[in-house]
Amino acid sequence: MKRKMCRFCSDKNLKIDFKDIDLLRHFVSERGKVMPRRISGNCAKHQRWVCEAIKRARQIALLPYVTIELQE
Amino acid sequence: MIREYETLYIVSPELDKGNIDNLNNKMKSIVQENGGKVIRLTRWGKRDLAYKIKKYNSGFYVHLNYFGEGRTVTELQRNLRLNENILRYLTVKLSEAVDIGSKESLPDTDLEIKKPEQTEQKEGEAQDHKEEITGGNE
Repeated sequence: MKRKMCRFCSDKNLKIDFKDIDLLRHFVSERGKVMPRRISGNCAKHQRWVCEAIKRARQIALLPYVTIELQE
Repeated sequence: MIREYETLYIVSPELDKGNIDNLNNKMKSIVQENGGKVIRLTRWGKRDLAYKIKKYNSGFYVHLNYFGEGRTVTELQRNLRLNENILRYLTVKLSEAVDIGSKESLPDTDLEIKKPEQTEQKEGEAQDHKEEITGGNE
């Protein structure tokens, strides 16, 4: 299987910003947890920055800390 | 030493537009009175919170981009903390040691909630990367 390239390394214009929640949503699971590198495909450096940005977004209530799944 | 900062704060949804404008102007004047320079204030409008804060489900987000010193940030954060109508705030350093004249003050703007990319482009112009982590060179 071909290894996925880091999105931020292949696109230098793509900035990691805690305000850009549409981008960060790609890197959190449905429950709001940070996706591991083996799934996101990020390199170590960018994974660290993404993680940092997600934590900031959580502080300011842009992203959830936890998502409780509703029983239907 | 002058640095570039950004502060994002959430105002209680119970305030009306006039009150929020007053509050925003107050915060801007605090920055200016404490050796800072406001670059731009952006109103994100009312948006839903990812989780409840003080039993509110939504709030008005305001983004303030400014130059300042340590005491500017301290004073701004102190005022945000003391104000009951501020639900949450977050300050991030954008860049080290900037020239205070390197960016002009811009008028206040409103941001379309649907397009967070707009902030992205605007913020992304001058900053290399906002993280405190240096060593960004490959």
